[in-house]
Amino acid sequence: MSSSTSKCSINRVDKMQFLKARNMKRTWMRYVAPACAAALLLAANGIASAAVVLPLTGGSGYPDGNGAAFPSAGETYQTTINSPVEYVTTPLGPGSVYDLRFYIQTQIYTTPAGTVDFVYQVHNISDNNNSTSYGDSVDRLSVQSFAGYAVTADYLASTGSSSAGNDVAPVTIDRSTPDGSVVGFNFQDYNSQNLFQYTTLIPGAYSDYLVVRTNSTTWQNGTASVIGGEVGQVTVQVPFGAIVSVPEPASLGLIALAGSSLLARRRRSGR
Amino acid sequence: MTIRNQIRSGRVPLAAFALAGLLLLCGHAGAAPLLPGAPAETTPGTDTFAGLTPVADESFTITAYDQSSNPRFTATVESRVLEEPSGTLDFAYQVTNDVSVGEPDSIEFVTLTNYSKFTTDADFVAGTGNVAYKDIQRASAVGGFQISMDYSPVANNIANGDSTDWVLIKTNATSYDNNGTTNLQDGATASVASFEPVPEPISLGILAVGGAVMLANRPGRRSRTVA
Repeated sequence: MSSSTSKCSINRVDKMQFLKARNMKRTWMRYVAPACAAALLLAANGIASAAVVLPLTGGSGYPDGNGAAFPSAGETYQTTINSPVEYVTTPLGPGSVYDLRFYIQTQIYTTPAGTVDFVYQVHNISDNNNSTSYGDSVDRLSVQSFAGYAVTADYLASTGSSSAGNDVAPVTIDRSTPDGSVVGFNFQDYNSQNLFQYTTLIPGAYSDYLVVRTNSTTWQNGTASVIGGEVGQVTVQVPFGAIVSVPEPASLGLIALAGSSLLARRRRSGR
Repeated sequence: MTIRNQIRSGRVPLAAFALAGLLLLCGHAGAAPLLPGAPAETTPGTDTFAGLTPVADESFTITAYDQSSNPRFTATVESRVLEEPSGTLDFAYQVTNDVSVGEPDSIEFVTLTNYSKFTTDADFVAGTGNVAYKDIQRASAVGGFQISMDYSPVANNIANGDSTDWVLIKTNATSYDNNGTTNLQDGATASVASFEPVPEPISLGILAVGGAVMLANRPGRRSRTVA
């Protein structure tokens, strides 16, 4: 008798453990696993795009040329503003000068979430066509101020010029320390991922579209500067106004994961 | 045969070109490359000032303003000329982002001019400042007019209060002046005067002789002489 009672209670314990394990497995399969998969997928998406997410306090990275998936669905064109032509010369000797001329175009787009994206393009129009003027190349473009705004930057490949050698992509994109106010695009660089790639924005060349996605709601005048053998700066458009809080895809994935876990926990304790 | 006759016979130009070529070759013999359009240094940070004799030193301070006339950074650029035991000149530069309240920018890119016509071997002198460039390159335009240094990665930023390691550029020049420029950039730009190599007087003399000879032998003059 005692042995049958004890056998029965062991069976009950086994059954309870089995049911508990089965419930946990079901919960995992129904909620947690899909949430994890979604989070991983979103995070992987973010990595694959390789747009350079620039922290508020500065950073840098190698862009991949997909323009941070620009334009996104529902993105609306607002306006295009060309800066004045900046013209700098340095005497090289009797009758000859080193010549830097450029202008920068800013295109402005808005997203359905109300945020503003900026598309910059540098055109190097330095005079390099006669024996008295040697055209300067542009090594780097910097634009400010982006202080306080979230910034994701990239370039859009093959949007500079159809002429060979005149379509120039930045090799690196960076954001300044400590306040993140300056976003810079380096054209003259050996890409550490490809030691044989040498780029510079030569006279006559256009940069590819330089796409800067922000969480600002409007825009104002800012400063863009270029450097080569000489330097020059012009007025362009930069972020302004309120900051819209738009979580990035990986954060959305994490939020979904946390929500699913809480839901599953609640269901378990309810049973 | 008089010089005038030599000029007319075309022998002086040949001699002048041969001499110029010989001098250029001599200049190239001891130079290691920072070639126009090429990167530098496979062993960065190994050069030192040992064995170099100071020749000249100057420094300038400048503030960079943006398009709204706001100050973005104030920098001091010191440049030096140093002589090698062989008699050729080296040029050294150090950039300091001066401590300044309300001027937020790091300096992230620096260019130096004018290095056209000279061979260069560039490096930074480790331990003489607190930041070094990520890389250094020489432009392909105008015979390598400018040398560019990239300080844009965060670890290489010339932030408020930072000084760069001295950048040492070995050349085959034997003369200098202070009509060169050091250009600085980040949220705004600024340029200051600094030392640069210049052709030595003998080279200028050879160029002048060559120019005079070409003028003397130009076709129009000959035909007038014949007539």
